[in-house]
Amino acid sequence: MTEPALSARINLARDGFRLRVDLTARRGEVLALLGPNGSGKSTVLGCLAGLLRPADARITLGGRLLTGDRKLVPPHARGVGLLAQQPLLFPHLSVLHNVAFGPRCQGRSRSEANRLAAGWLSEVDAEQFADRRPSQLSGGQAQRVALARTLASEPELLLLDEPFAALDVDAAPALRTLVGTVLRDAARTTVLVTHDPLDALVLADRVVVMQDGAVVEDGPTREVLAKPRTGFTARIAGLNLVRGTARAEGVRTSDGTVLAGIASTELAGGAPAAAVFPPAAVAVRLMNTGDTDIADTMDATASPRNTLPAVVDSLEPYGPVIRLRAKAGADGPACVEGIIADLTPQAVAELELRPGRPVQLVIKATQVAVHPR
Amino acid sequence: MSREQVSSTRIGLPALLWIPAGCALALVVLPIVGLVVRTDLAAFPSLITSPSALNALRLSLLTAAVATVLCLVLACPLAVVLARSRIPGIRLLRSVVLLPLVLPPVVGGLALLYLLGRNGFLGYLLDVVAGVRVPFSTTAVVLAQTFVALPFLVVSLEGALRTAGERYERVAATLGARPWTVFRRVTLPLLLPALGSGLVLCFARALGEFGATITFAGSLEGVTRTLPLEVYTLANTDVDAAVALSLLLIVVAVLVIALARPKAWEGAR
Repeated sequence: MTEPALSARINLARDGFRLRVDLTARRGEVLALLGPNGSGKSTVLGCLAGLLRPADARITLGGRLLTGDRKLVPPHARGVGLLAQQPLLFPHLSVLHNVAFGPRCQGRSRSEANRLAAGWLSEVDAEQFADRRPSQLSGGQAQRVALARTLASEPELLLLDEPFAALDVDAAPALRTLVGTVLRDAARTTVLVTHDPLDALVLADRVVVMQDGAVVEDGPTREVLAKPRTGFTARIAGLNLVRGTARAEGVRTSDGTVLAGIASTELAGGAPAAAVFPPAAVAVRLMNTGDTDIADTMDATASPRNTLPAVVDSLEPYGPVIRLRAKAGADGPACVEGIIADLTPQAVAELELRPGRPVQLVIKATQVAVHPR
Repeated sequence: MSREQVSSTRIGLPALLWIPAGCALALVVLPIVGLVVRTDLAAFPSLITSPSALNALRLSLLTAAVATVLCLVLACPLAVVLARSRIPGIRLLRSVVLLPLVLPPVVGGLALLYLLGRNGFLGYLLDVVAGVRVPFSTTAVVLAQTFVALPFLVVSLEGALRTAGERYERVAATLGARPWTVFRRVTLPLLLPALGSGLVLCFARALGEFGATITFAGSLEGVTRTLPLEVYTLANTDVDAAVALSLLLIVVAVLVIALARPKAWEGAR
């Protein structure tokens, strides 16, 4: 494995709060920092950005020592960009000059900086706002411009601090798509702080879960969310995720299966997308039964459904329900691997479910949200 | 979730408030009315265009303008230091800056005199080394006005800096701006609205300065006798002229506020 691009060991105590964190990220990796409020996520970002001075820390980025050995590289010399919840565009500058601010600070000429800024604005689909004042933008537009401004300073490490949290429900998915595109395009390391598991699911390669100032889980996104070890991840992880590309009716996975769903935002066909649905939306019925089985009689007038062949992998009690984990059958689609369904104990008994048994997963299309990623 | 346009209802004002509020307004307006009533309007033009009056007006506008510029150059950095620096003892410094605001101006003038007068340690030095004598000169008038007006600008700028917080400066730093660039391209432009209203206050205070000026600079026609000093001098000999000049001062003050204030408000979003 290559040398990590970012390595941070932070140790600090403040107002009775103790933070002990050890983080690494590879070059180009998108790391999601998840955790409940007050778990210390934003403090970690502040330390990485150089806005906070931890008592005991060692932070290196691309071989440079940023914090440590009684030394703190000031924020402006770190090569660390920060996009916060609020866009905080400079109110006295036009949109274009806001974006040109970073390049100007790096010593580029006015015209060169403006040219770069215009390029970044078109990258985030905001070139039509170039001459506007920040006060003339909506929240979503302003955050897009703020993203362009952060990227224009060409940070080696990009910090995103709940970048969608302050946006209304219509603007957030569009910006999430945009961030996803930008993050994939570039070979820059990103740390994304969020309390929304959806952000982590669709954007991050790896998830680090923090609680009370300590890292409690760390691993590839899907693994952490599929096998939650803490209460927090268990609460947020109760979601199924199937990746693929967008289609008019839903998501098409790499094995060719089409999962029907409702798009959360307008999606171009073929764009990377993820279908997300709760385990309670997954019904299970046995293979080779007729049309009179449980799911059908229950949903006689139901909306379109997805029916996927699978095999029961495991059954575990999960509070009042039984959580079934599916795996792919010998000739079934591979995308069912890891899908979880919450069933009542009665249903499990009635269907005589047990590991290894072939079943059909029935997922109501109306419960499947299709998100860009 | 749709955002609806709603206007908030007003909570009714207690009727009782109108009485003291009216009294306060009367206290400000009635004396001015009295002055206007007392003015000999027929003789007004000739009274305010007498050579001594014009001299005083010219001197007043000039010194107040220079004092305002001096305040601008000095108060901006001081306000930023007071609002942003974390050096120990900054709280003490902050109260010291307010001193001229609460000190009787005469005391301020006396203090200046014993610093820069011939017997003052700095004044003695200036006299011996450079042959410069500050007291009873136009420079003294400017210094006295700057002394009393400076806190007005510092207070309004520092308040604006604290309200704005460091958010934008932090963003600028993460975008690669060095401290000086942050100050020049973010802190200063964001201060402009507060700077506008602060400068107006500053100029108005300098224009009206009396106590410190008469103590430190005396009352020499054409050199140190500003409009307020001229009014004071005339009040003992020619009341009509004093009243006319007072009215002129009021007109100038109202003009300054009317011209500069709305711009300052517009800027403050």
